[in-house]
Amino acid sequence: MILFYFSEALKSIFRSKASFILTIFSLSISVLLILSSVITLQSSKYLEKRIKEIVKVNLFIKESISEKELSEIKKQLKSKNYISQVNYISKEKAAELFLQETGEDFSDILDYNPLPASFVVSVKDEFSNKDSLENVITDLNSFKWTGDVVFKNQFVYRVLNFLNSIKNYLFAITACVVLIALYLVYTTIKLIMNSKAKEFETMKLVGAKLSSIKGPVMLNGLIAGVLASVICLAVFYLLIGYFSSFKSVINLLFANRISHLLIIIFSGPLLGTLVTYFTMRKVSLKI
Amino acid sequence: MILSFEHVEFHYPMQQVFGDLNFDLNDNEFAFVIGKSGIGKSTLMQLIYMNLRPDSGTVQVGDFDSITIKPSQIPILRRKLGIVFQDFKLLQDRNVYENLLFVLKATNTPSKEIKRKINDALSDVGLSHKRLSMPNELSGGEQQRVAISRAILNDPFLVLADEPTGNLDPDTSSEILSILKTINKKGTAVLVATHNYDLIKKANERIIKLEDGKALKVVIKQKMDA
Repeated sequence: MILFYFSEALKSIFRSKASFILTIFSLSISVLLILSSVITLQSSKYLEKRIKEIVKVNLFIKESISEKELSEIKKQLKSKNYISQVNYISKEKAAELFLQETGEDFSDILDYNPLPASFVVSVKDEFSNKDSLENVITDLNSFKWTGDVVFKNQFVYRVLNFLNSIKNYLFAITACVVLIALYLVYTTIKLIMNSKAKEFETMKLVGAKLSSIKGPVMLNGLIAGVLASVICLAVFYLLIGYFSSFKSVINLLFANRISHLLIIIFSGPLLGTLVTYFTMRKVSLKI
Repeated sequence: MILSFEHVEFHYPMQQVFGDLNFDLNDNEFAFVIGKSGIGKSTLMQLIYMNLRPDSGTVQVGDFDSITIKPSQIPILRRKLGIVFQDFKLLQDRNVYENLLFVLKATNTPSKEIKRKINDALSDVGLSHKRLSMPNELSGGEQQRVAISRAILNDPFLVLADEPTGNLDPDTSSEILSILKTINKKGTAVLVATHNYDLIKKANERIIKLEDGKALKVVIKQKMDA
C-alpha cells in the first residue's frame, strides 16, 4: 500500500505540476515567514540582552574609607544576588579615565584629586528592569559607606520599555504571520483537493479505504514540504553568504544558526503534512 | 437473497423519498428499477452502497446491513459491489488500463492478480484493444464499457447501474444492456435503475417500479405492461 501511496503521490505531482509548484511556493513562503519571525524575536532578545549587559550602576564611596573596609565592601557587594560583576575604580584610576575622556588634566589647576573612588556594578539580566533597578539603587544607597549612586536610569528604562513593547508587538505579528502562512498553504492544498474530487469519488465507489484516499495526498504534502525546506535552506545560505562581510548583522540575525536550520528542516514537512491533514479532515466515505 | 429492503423509510431535509419500501433481489438475478425522474432511483442505489442510511427499516446487502455496518466496513462492502453511472466517472487523465489499475491498487489487490483481472474485465466488455486509449478518445458507449469493466474488476456479487444508458443512443444502449446481461449470466446479480422504457421493453427481466404519491410503494412485476 505504501508503494501505491508513493506512486499516486508522484503521479499526482507530474499530472498537476502547476498546483504542486504553487504548493511548494506557498510552503516556502510560509517557512520563510516563520523563520523571519523567529529571527526577529531572537534578535530583539539578543538586543535586550546586550543592552542589559551595559546596565551599570556607579557607586561612589565616601572619602574616609580605609583599604581594609574597601575589601569588606567588595565582599558585601559580591554577595548581593542582583550583582553580576563589581569593578573597583580608585581615585587615581578615575583621574586617569577623566583625562582620557575629557582631555583635561585637573592637576594643572588643583593640587588634589577631587574624584571619589567608586565601584562600577553590573546588574544581572533578571534585575535589569525598572522595578528591580529602583530596588537595587535603594539597596545600594542604604550602605553607610555609600557616597552617591549614579545610574542613567531614564535612558535605560526607556530603551528597555521600548524593547519590551516591541517584543509584545513582535509576538502578535509572529502569530499573525504564522496564521497567514498556514492559511496560504491551506487554501492552496484545498484547491488541489478540489481538483482531485473526481478521483476521490472513484476511489470511494470502488471501495478504497479512507487511508488509501488520504495517504497519497498526505504524502504529496510531505514531499512538497521537504522541497520547500530545501528551497528555504538555499535562500538561508544565500542570505548568510550575502551578509557574511557584515559581522554585526550575522551576529545579530544568524547567531542561533542551529535553531534556524532546525526550523527550516522541520517546519516545511510538518506544515505540508499537518495542513494537508487538516484540509482533508472532512473527507469521508460519502460520495 | 443478496439484497433486501425491509420497511425502508428515507427522506431528505425537505422531501420524503421512501415511506415503506420493501423488495428483495435474489442471487444471480437481473432486475430493473424504474420510475419517473426524481422518484428516488439514485437514492435507492445510494442506500445499497451505503452512501446514505435509511431513517428506519433495514437495507441488507450480502452480509452487511444498514443498521450494524461500521464505517470501516463500507469500503469492504463496496469492493463486493460494482457501480456504474450515467456519466461513467472515468479518470480523464489516465488511459483505460490505468483507470482499471488505479481501482485495483486502491483496493490493495495483489500485484500478481492485477494483469489477469484487467485483461479479463476488458475482454468481457470487448475493449482489450483499447487498453491504451485515453477516455476522451473513446465513444460514449466505449467509455461506459470501460466503466462496466471497472465495476466487474473485483468480481462483485452485485452490479448496480444507475441510468447506464442515459447518455447513449439506442443501439449503444442495447449493447450496454447485452453486456450487463452477459455479466449476469456469469453469476453476478445486476440491478439497473433507468427511465429508458424502450430498453426495458426489449428485456424480459423483473421490473421494480417505484411509484410516487403518499403510499410510496413498490410494485414488482415479472413483465411490465407496455
